[in-house]
Parts: sequence; structure tokens; C-alpha cells
Amino acid sequence: MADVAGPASAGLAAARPAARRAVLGHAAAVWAVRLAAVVAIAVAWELIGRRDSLFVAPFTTTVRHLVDLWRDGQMGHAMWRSNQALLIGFPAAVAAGLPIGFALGRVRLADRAFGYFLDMMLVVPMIAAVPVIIVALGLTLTARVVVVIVFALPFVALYARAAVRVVEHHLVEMAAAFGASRRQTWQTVIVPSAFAPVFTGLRVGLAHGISGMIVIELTLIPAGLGGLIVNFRSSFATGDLYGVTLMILLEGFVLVGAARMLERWVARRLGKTDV
Amino acid sequence: MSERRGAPALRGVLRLWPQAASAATVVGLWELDSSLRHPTWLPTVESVASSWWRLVTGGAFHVAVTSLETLGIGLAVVLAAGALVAGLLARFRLLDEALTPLLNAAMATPVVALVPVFVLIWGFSDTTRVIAVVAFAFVPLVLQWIVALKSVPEHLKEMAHAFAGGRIALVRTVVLPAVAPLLLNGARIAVVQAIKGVITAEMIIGVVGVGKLIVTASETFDMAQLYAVVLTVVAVSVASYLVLSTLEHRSSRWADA
Repeated sequence: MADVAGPASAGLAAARPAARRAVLGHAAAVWAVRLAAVVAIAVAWELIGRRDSLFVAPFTTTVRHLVDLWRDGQMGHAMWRSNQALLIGFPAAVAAGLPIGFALGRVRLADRAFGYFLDMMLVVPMIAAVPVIIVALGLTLTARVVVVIVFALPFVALYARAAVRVVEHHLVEMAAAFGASRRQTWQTVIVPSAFAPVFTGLRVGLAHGISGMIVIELTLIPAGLGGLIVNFRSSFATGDLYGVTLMILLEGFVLVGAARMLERWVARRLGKTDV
Repeated sequence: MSERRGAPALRGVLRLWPQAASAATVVGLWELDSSLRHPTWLPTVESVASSWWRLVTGGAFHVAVTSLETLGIGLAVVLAAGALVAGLLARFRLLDEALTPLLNAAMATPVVALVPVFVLIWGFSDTTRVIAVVAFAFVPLVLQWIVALKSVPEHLKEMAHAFAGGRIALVRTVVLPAVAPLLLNGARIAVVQAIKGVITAEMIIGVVGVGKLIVTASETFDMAQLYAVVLTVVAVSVASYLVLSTLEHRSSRWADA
């Protein structure tokens, strides 16, 4: 029952062929189980769809429709329309959320006065605010951008707040003892130690921003991807509906997966420079 | 320092002055803006209050019973299924290593996009909404509960074995106190997500429950009613969150004791 993960055992494995085989065998087993799970889901989906193709498009049909929608330009057009909101909204949420989070994390009084609004935004179904935003801003791109911001900002800000709050106090004190200015303290102590959690906040915020982008299109402004979904659902174009849905899920996977890889890369770099 | 009776409670309330001040400021600005400029999207505080009172006395909130039923059934399903899956993954390391990354990846997907598919399959039925609740809450709950179940300190288990405790005794005296706060944390996340699932599904479907109230109010531009319903949803979500946080707090003190 040896713990096979971790650098120590990896070194051990390099030294002893038998141990290395065990590690490789374990990795193979993990991947086999993972692959089996994915294949099982796809096969089950396919079989259910074959039996009842009015409501469930089989996996293969879904993929075919997804490709067709890209080919005839509908998907590209819808993706562009929808993602405009994300493209503007997410950077705006980051630009506003990070300073808010940092301020709340470092200024106790500000946090006590305003922090709980952000906490509430995390707990409350923000979709309920969508109609208010639409009445205020109309059926516009601005409204969609604001919804993306409202969905993403609380996560960005709250992770940023937590990140600068947990900065080791003795480090801040030491910096002060060495006569560091406020700016130097931020540069050398606060920012490096806060980087990883802040990045996690960006990733989680991005995932919620994508949700926000879809939410407004599904509820009140049938444009872009949401518009396609609403059309396909009312015309019972099952294959197309499944194709668009799969595309939205894939976008989440890809964007957030890319953010996660970037996060790991940055964390590794920071880890190296810290030592 | 005077140590009069009742002073701690009073001090506790007085300590909340920044929160109270900011809330008062928000309500004050709201009242000022709505009564001076009359923006279309911002009804006055009084009109929202009276609209809320009409909803309560007129029985319009009866539709909330449907929402709460959906919420209850969905949560029961998700807690049971979550316990099963999290238990399996926490117990078998191979499953954990193979499948937990998949669950983490699933966290990145916008679950809301699945609701139209549920509507296609199950129509405007209760099933659709229960499934939506499950879809919203399941993965976050399982991920949190795996962490909870794996966090039982090994030395505690060994000690319980050394004292020849049975399996049930082990769970009751060692496992449960150690993981109760984390389990409740998972349940809290599940409740928050489930509420989001109900409201989202009802708003996309638009013909049932609290979601119907919201959609109707916004389609008829009845801003006062829209605010009344939305603020009620906010209040209920926050209240249920606070109740579960308090429970979690209690249980962690019990665990430390």
C-alpha cells in the first residue's frame, strides 16, 4: 500500500525497475478506468438515443450535427455573437474584481462594510437579477456584458480577497522592519504569495462568466448560442439541439482547461523562483 | 471596562455598525434615486414593500410551494446519490484517481446549457426541474464529500481498531465527529446550488413556481413585483445559507470537543 505519488517515490522508482513497473502499472490502471468511464457514458448515450431518437440524439448523431452546424456557418456566427459578451465582460469583471478584492482583503473596515454584498452574490441565484438588468439596459450587448460581469465578478473578487488576507503577517512585518515602502511590500511580499489563489479565482470566475453568457440568452434574449437552442427546441431539431449543447459544454471544458494549464504553469514558475 | 449583564450581546450588535451603515446607505440611495429620477428599472422602496405585502396576502407566494417541493425532492436525490458516489470514490483509491479529475473538469461546464435538453426530454414536468436541481448540485457535492470522507485521520482509525471497536462504533465515535463539519460544508454547497438549479429551471421553463412569478413580472414590466420576488429569493437563499453555516460551526466545535 505504498504511496506511489510524490517526488520521493518517483526517485525511488527510477532507481528500481520493479518499483517503476508498479508505478507504470498503476498509472495504466487509472487511465484504463478513466477511459472506461468515458466510453461507458458515450455508449449508454448512443444506445438510449438509438432507442428513442425523438428526444435523445445518439452520441454519433450529435457529433455529426455539431460538425454540420460549423460547416454551414450557423455555429460560427452564434459562437461569435455569444462570445462577444464574454470577451468584453470577463476582462471587465477581472479589472473591477481584482482591485475590489484586494481592497477588501487589506482594509478591514471596507470588508466589514461591503464584503457581505459579495458573499451574498455567491449564495444567491444571480439568474434572478437578469430581468432587472434587461429592463435597465434593454435587449442589448451591454446587458449581456453586464450579466457576464455579475456572474464572474464575485468569484474573482472573493478569491482575491482571500489571497491577500492570508499573507503571512510576519513577512509583512519583516518587510516593514527592513524599511520597505508600501509599494515594495506589495511587490515583494503580497503579490507573489497571492498569485496562485488569485489565478484560481480567475478560473472559477471564467466558468461562471460562461454560464452567465448562456443564461441570459436562454431566458430573455434569444441570441447567439441560446437563440439557436431556443429555435431548435421549438422545432424539435433534436440533433441540432444536442450539437449546440455539446458545443457549449466543450467551450467550458476548453477555456477553463486552458486556464487551469496556464495556472499550473505559472504556479510552477513561481515555485521555482521562490526557492 | 464595565462588565454589565447584557453588554456582550449589545456590543455584538453594535459591532455590526459598518454592515448596517452600508446597508442603510444602499437603501437610502435607492430611495433617493427612485423617488427623484424615477428610472424605469428602479421602483420605490414603498412600492416594492406594498407589492410584497400584496403577494403575501393575495396568496401569490403559494407557487413557492411547488418550488420548495422540487427543491426538497431534488436535494434528497442528490444527497443520496452523492453519498453513494462519494463513498465509493473515497473508499477505492483507483476510482478516486481515475474519476475525480473528470468531476473537476465537469465543474467547468455551464450546467445551465443542459436545461433545454431536460425540457426536450421531460417536458414542462416536475421531473425536468428535479433533474435540473440534481444536475446543478451533484458534482460540487460529490467533490466536497470525497474530501470530507478522505480526511479522517489515519491515527484515529488505528486507535479505534486498537481498542477493538466495531465498524459501527468506529463510524460513530471516530469518523462522524471528524468529518461532520466537512460533510455539512458539502451539504451547504449542495443547498446553494440546488436553489440556483430550481430558480434557473423555472425561469427557463417560465410557467411554474417562483420562476413564473419572476418571468411574469418582468414581461408585464411590473418592476415593484419583480423586485419583491427577487428580494424574497435573495432573503430565502441567504437565510438557508446562514442556518447551514451555523450548524457547520456547531458541529466543528463538537468535533473539537
